[in-house]
Amino acid sequence: MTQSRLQGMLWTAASLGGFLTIWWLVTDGLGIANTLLLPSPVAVAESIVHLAASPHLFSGDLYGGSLIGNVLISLGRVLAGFAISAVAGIALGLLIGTSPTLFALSDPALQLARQIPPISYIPLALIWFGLTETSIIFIIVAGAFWPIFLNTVAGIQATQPVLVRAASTLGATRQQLVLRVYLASALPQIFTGLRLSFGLAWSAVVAAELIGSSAGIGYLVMHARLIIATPDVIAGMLAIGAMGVVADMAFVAAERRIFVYRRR
Amino acid sequence: MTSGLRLINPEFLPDPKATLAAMIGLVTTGPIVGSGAGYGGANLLGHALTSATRVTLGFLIVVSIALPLGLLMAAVPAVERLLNPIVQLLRPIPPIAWTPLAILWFGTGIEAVLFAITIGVVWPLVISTVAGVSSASKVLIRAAAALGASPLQIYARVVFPASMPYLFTGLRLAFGMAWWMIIPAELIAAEKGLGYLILRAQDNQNTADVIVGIVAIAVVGFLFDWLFRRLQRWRYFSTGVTGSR
Repeated sequence: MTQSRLQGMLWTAASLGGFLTIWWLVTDGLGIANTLLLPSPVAVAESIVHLAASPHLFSGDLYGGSLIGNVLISLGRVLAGFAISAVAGIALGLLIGTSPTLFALSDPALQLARQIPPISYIPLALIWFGLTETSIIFIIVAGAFWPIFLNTVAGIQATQPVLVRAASTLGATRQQLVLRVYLASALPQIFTGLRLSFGLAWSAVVAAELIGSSAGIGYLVMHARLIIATPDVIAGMLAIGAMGVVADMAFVAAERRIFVYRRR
Repeated sequence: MTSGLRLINPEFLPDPKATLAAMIGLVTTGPIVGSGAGYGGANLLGHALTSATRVTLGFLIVVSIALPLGLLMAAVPAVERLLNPIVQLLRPIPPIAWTPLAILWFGTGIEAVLFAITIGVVWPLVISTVAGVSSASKVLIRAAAALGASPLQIYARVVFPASMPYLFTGLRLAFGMAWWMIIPAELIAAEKGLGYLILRAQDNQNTADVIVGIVAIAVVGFLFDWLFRRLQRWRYFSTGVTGSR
């Protein structure tokens, strides 16, 4: 282990250790803060263990299931919404990216539409679909669609013209051009869009569940708040954050393996 | 078109005429001019202004915390090494996930909304501030030092202006994040504003009003972003210290 890595780890340990110590002092140690509102780290840790180790995965207990069960429910929704967004985003991105006329026509409207936070679709989704899974997936798609779509368009538009001309000269049909030149050239950027979109989808599912669901990690956090089980609220928040990090790391690792040719 | 062809049940997707009428209605009569029946006593413009002021306020709070903190972290490596792990720990938690905690601590209302925005947006802004300051050209710094500038002078007159382009983009993105945050926060925890408006409209099964609200959200978001882009063209914010790109 190099000296600087060791130094880095020591700094991290000192920083987190200091943070936890101050936290503990403020709550349990010196009793400054109201532990109902700010539970001690010990309480949060206990809550994590209790929630994670709950034997019932999808039923019973306080939150209709353990921490893992609820996370899985949320994850399932994210995957569904993400899959739909990816297919729609890439397909539409291909369509609009390869056609300058379509792009010019749709760009103003799209610039406006992408400003809408996905959460604002919740009331609309509730009217259209009620309190169902479709609502939640709709909201996820409303948010996750944009990074994939926009990155696909941008990636295609950044295709080097010389590649397109070379392929045409060699006799490529329109379909071959689109698939094997434009799409292939835009792939790294599309992948970035996929990665951003997954993060957004994760945020969106939490928000949608906070407002209108009876299962999932967002629901867990909201319900914990209602019964003022603050350690559970914080535990849920940490779980949400952890999932986001894990997902992002997975994407980065996949990116490195797929796009080997881009390594500098 | 969709209503003309009777493709979709008009209750679910009101035809453009109804939506336009609703928009004019919300903007001019009833809920717009004063009374705001059914929407907590404020019209579309009023709600839009409420949301806009809140997000600006929240943004100013975040900036006043994140900018000095970021500058400090960039200037003193020890501070950065100490605080960075905490930032990395709290950053992945999406701002929306802070809302229940915010409600626990502040009750429903503007304080909770502001807190959620602050805690959600502060981390990316700190990180981009540090990155922006470190991107200031070392050559310029060394040149200034060689010409006899004190560290404070270097910081104020070289580093800060040189990191402006990067910083400003970070600010613009942070504002966008704050805008994205204000709507869900209002949905959950407020009694006024555009987020509240669309929730009440949904309560009343008033699809036209919901769509109007969503359009308003898009327009205001777009306006803010446009404002930032125009500001960015101002010489000071985009050309750094030398006056040329």
